[in-house]
Amino acid sequence: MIIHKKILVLFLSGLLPLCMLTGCWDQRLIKESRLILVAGLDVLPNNKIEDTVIYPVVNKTSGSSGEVKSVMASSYGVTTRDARFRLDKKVSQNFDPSKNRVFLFGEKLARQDMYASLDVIYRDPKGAVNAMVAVVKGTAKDALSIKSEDSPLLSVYYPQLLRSSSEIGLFKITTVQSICASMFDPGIDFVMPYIKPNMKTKDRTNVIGTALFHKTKMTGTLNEKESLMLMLLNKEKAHYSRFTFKITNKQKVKEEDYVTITVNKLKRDWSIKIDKNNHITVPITLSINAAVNELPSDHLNSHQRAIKIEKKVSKEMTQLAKKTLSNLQQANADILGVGKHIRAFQNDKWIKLNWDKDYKKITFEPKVKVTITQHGIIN
Amino acid sequence: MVQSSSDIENNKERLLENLHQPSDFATRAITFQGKRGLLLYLESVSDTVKIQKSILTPLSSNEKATIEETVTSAKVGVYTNINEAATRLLKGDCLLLIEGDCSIYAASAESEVSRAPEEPFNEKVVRGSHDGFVENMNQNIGMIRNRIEDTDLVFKQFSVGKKTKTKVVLAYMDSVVNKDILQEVERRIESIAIDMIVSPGFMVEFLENKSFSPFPQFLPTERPDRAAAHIMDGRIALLSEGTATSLILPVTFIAFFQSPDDFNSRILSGSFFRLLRMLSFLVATTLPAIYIAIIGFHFEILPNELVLPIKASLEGIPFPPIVEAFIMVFTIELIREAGVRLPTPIGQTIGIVGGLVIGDAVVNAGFISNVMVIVIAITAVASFTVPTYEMGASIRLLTFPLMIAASLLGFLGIVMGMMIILLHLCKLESFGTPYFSPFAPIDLQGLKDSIIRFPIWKMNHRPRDVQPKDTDQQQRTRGWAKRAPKKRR
Repeated sequence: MIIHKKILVLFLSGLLPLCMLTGCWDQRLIKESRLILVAGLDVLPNNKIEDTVIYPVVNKTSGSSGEVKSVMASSYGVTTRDARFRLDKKVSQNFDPSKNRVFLFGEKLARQDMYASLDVIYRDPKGAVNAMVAVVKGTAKDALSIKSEDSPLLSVYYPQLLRSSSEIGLFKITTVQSICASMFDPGIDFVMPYIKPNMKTKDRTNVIGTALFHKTKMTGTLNEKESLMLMLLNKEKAHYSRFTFKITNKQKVKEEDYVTITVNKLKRDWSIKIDKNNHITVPITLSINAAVNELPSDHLNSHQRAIKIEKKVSKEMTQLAKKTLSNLQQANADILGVGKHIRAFQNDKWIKLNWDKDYKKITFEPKVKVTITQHGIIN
Repeated sequence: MVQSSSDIENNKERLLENLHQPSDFATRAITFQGKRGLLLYLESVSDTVKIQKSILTPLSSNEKATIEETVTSAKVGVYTNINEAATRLLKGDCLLLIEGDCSIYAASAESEVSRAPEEPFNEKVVRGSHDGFVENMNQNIGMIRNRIEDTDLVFKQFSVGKKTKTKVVLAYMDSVVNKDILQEVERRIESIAIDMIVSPGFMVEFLENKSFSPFPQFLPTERPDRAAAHIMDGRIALLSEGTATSLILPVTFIAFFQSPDDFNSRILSGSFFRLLRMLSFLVATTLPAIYIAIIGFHFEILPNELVLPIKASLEGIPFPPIVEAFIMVFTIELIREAGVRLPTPIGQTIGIVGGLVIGDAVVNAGFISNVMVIVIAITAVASFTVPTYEMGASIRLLTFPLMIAASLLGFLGIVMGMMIILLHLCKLESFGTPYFSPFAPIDLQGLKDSIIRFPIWKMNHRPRDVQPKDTDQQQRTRGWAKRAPKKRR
């Protein structure tokens, strides 16, 4: 027993310095890290990658928790990592992108190849894969050089902007992680929010629609209404998916020509039919229960009028759906995942298809049926 | 061995010699049936009123009967050994020496100095009994007897301490207690060879298996209702003379988090309080460690909204997180230790100076970040919610190794530290019974009274960790409730 104790004491006294002398080599103190909260990537005319970052700086005065402000820095290199390396040389403290919240991509870079510039994040175990992504019309640097009045910190402004736009049904929040699988899946493609900074006032950025991708490249865009419709076609209902349509053309007051509906309930029925000539037809039926939000011309208490509006809106929405789907096909972006569906359920047909080319040839047959179920509280 | 003689003066001298001429020695000459006699007692431990009533008055009136028949004291012993007689004298007995009689008569006349039972300071409850043990053993035994009126309730007396001869009593239910455990307890008590037993702390250290374990293995309590409840569970209560604290043994980890209040309040609130206490145990042991690990290693797990406030509060702090935490914990322990023994008015001043002034100034001066102050303050408050003082102290001790581990290895260090603590808890035994029951070994029945408390009418079995002889403590407690009729389809 005594010998055992001696061994134990020796062992412990050997262990103690081992613990104490290792020091803090793997420590990563938050107070010594330069937290990158927004990053933007652009491609320069000479094909170099420009990385622009926003980080917060705390102006600490004694007694208070300090005032935080955004600082921008940018640098370029041959790859994203190289640009970051150069950036680190400029920025004090340890460059740390693990808390990055938003990635903005210049349109030019997005049209080249997305994966190449995101590779660095996927490879890093501390990479911020939950950062939101968006494509900027123009350069990302422009979007990051605005001075927003909504919030002094761009790291707060952009996430809030994207989140609130997703609430009104323009797009689903896309993150670095969520687009990863679609980049390499031949049967499905992805979209990203499409934003445009106001370069005259330099105080705001507008969401102008969605950017369509095919595999890793951006191939087209949708405007706001088409983006809303794409969400519905994709069976995604946001809190407030609203559509405004012109229903008449004769009122004196222009506003009275329009109606605004909100989608309350959404049901999508679709099937994929492949005939003998390998021609693919996709009938899509959307059944929508809608609430009327705005109808200045009123008289919704009449049943006939309601049916009339329903018919008109259904027609407009069917038109919109057609337009949206043809835009998708033009961009070769299979956002609905038709290819994935065929691969899963009709694999014998799938292996004969060349989806890169055949997607453009399929026929979508959209049909939207709107039923007004809520009139608002006045009638 | 000094035998008494028939010479009473000689006997008295020998007794005095034996007791080293005590200053509180009192003597009075009497006559009994015409014979000269001496009455000896120690003023400090004997009750003069009792002597007057039950010895002097009968002696002067009775003419024929023997001493034993005459004296009306509860107990009368006859001794011929001077040493034994002297021992009786120390217990408060009054000695009678009669001319021409070799025997020494010892009539009980001990004065019972005791205070009125009060609610124990550190085991207050909101509802229920506000009774507490006192320093007098007989009174304490009485309190338990009042609560358990059963012939099975046994009080077994031991005397520990070669010089102090402290009375120690084991209280248990004969029909419930596990005989093996009882035997082991008795064996350990009998083997204690020490001059002096002062406090229950002495008993604890002589009896417990692992003295260097951070976890207390006996439950000290000053509440008779708590002691009685544990006795009914098949545990043993150890009472000792001169202290108001009884020790419950063997005991489990979970017992330190139970309070009579859990059962005095209703099921839902009782369960909520229990849950709160278990949570506070986790918070008190790990919160500073987790915070250190986060700001030193893994700040990417912070929610986005928290990153900036924490980063802002940490900006410009001159110390590494571990030093910062140690300074704060040290300060809080200082304030606590300073406040414990000070009279209440000064104690409050310490609280204000320590809590408000130091806390505020240290942040303003930029030595400690305000988030660290919040973390350490929550930890301190959490450690005081544990109903037993001993467990609270253990928890505060456990914080330190975990903090060091977190500062060396981050979450990995915390996991390793918690693993060691858990291993130790699973391995720990209290008189051969598993300390971490009902978690390890898992006891589904026992879990009813652990993290949350089930309705009392669901607890039909006694806790299994002590392996009681009689496992059922109740059945069909709600006999009035009809069984729900089967639903017809």
